[in-house]
Amino acid sequence: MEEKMGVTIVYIDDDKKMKNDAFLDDIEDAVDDIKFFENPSDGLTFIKDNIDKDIVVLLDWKFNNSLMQGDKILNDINEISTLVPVIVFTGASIDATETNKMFKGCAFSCVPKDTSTKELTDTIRKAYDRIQNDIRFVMEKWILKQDVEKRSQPYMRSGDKIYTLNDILASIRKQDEFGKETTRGILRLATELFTNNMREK
Amino acid sequence: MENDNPTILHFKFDVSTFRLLGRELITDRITALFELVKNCYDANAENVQLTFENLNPLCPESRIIIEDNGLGMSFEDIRDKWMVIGTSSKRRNRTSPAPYNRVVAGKKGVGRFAVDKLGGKLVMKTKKKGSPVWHCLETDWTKYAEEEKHQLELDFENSSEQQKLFTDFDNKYWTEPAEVEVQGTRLEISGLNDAWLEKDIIRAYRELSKIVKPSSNSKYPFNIRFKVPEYVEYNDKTVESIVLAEATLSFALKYRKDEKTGMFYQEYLVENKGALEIKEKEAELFGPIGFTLYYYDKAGKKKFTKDDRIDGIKVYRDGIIATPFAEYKSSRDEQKDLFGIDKRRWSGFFEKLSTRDILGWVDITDELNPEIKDSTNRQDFVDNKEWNALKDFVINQIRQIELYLKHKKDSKKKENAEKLKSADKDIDDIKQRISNIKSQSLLVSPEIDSELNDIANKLETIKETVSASSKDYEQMEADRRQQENIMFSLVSLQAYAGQISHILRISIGIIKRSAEFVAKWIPLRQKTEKSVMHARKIFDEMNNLSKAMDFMLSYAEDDSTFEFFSVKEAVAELFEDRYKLLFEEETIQADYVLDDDFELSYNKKAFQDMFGNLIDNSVKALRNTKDKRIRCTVFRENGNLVLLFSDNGPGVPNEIRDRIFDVFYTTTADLGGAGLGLYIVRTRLNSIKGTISLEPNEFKPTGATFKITIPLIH
Repeated sequence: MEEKMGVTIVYIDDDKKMKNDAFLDDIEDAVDDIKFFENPSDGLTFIKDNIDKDIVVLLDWKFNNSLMQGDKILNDINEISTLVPVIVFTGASIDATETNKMFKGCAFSCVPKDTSTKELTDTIRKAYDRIQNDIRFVMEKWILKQDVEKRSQPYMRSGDKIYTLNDILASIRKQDEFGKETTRGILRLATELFTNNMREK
Repeated sequence: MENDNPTILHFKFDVSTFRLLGRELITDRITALFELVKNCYDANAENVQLTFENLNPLCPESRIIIEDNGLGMSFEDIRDKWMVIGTSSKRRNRTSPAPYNRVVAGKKGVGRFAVDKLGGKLVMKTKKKGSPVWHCLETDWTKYAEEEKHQLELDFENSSEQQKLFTDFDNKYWTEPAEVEVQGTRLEISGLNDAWLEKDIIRAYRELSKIVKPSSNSKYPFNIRFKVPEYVEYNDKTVESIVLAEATLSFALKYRKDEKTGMFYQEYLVENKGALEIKEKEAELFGPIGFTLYYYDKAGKKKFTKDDRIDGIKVYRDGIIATPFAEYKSSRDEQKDLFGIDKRRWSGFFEKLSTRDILGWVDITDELNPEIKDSTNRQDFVDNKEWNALKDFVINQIRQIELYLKHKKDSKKKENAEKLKSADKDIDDIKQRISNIKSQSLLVSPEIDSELNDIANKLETIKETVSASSKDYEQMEADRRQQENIMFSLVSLQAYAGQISHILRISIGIIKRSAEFVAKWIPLRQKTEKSVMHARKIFDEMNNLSKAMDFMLSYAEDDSTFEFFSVKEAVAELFEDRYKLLFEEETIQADYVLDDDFELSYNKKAFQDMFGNLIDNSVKALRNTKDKRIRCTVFRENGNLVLLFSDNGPGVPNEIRDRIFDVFYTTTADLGGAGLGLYIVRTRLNSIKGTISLEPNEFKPTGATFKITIPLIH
């Protein structure tokens, strides 16, 4: 038995038949929770309200009779946080324009709808691994572990601006200039510490 | 007198935030220039002069000067408005002062950031009418940049040096004497960030030529003048509005307000038997708009020095261009096609116009079209219902012009064919006259007689050629139609195949994973109930696949070539033959109304299958209705064949109206509905450019009415 993944799967698909897909029945014990949303807006609201949880999104790409298509939803998720891995799950044939939209929206992966449960589970596990190992996720998790009160107090200064942990969290999630700079800084620092240790030995 | 009263003024904001914001709001130099010129417009300027000096290569003397004769600023304005970012007075006043009352264009007050994008140093001179002096201010960001760089290099924790939280840089202020009556603002930007090549100037010129609509009223003109000594072609050149060389077709659609009811009515174009008519209807949900459209044929395009000046349809809000602002792309393919004019399917296949054939603008106002909003990145409009409805409206108007042009082309062809035929007669006529001359023997010498014989013989040869050409022409036309039909059928099959494979892929995925589930958990003796459920699902899904396959086969079996068939016969076959028994069994009173017969070029069986689908649905819907009725009405409307199909069942509940055409959407799973029928009807129709929609029910009090439109191509 593989290790259980501490994630919530958010599956957004307007084909409600997919709610009973065997894949979901198969993976239900291997993850924390599965949420299925027929309506993209409800899915987005859920992600926004549960942003402090580890989430992997499974996203249909072509929505019937909806103003919101996959690319728009992908962008909206990025607006909430760029740290949520989104796996596009689609039955449509994907041409270069569509692929470009996915890359631009930093989709984690794209899986065709006729895939096997095994392949889909493997992709979700890869997304989960990224959540576990990527420095940005580690920083996010560390900040979320801190006291709520402590998070809103000034924590560091960069240039002319003073940042609280909440500011830093928002910047990391948005991956704005400061967010990127901070991530780079921490990586450099970690490498520095690591090599220092080697020298001392 | 210069510098006789130097004062130091400080910006009241954090400079690094300022620059960061600026960089995000103004993405390129042209946009920056654009924003500054818009500021001039907002200040009621009538003339703006843009001077570019020593642009390439860059040197200390390189500068851009933007001068206008607008309202200008007082010392207080500079101190309390210009120097304080984020308290834009423009936000409070939506129009510029009377009598211009221009709707403010530079809404977000980004003009000041724009300066930073162009160059590091600014000398501003400004004055209002009545002031005896110019107020002068010098801002030098280049100094700031050095400090910023220095601070970024500081170590976070172990620096003894105090970091500056707010950067207090000196901005030198002084006055210079001036004539009291003069007003205006002069921005002299130096320390330029990039050299300006001729192509940049061309870009700037071209984009600025879009800033004010060509037809804008000239009582309060807005002129932009270029002064570029380095590039002769643009030196002392007034920016002309996009040239409206004589267009082949032009339309100006307006709207009006009914003073009694307060309702707005919108003019729109509709093609009717080869004529384009302007009609009026209630304004749509995006609000009333003005829509000006120019179409250029090949001859019309020649009047443009460069045909890339014809570049589609733009949106002007209160007289000033809205997004996508000055976004210029050197490659046309990357240029934004706001309305998706070029993206339409089968482009070039059935006489589609592209953005290179049309030029126009949609006039919206803040007041009447509040839901047409710029998106935050200022590159597009917010994707909402209203914007989508506006897009549909514009595309539909272009479609009407396409229909008109098509009609015109067809009748021209017909005319030519007629002429060719009558040429034959004309030759006979000439021959007759020759023989008349010959019969007047007194006038005819033997030489003339022989000459006339010769002419008559030659005419005979010509006559043969003409008659052969006429036949060739007819044959060619027939061939062309045949070819078009084959292409058409191929394209429609291609689209259909694409959509069917979408269904298949989803179905196959479901089956595959269910089978995988059963195979994995049954041996483990776990999840037994779910395994049974998934086994059943495999069966159901397989049934759906069979149904989809049947539909595909109906294409394959009944040969996919198109034929001309009588709609009346096809419908009669359905009602009086194929479904007669079923109607009798279910006691359904079914009738059809066709005033006229129509020839349709399509696959007859596919056409009948679509009806079969609708009839099946109605029969199911009518199962609990007493006096069961089904009616089909067929008529012609705007070059389309229209079929209304109605029943008096319980109708379609409002909440699922949008979903009934979705694949696998069914409300009759208990009766074996797979949710494929209407989806397939829709995809089949779409593949031949037809549509299906749910209309208000014909039968009262309850019922469902579907409207099918199919273009009558020939």
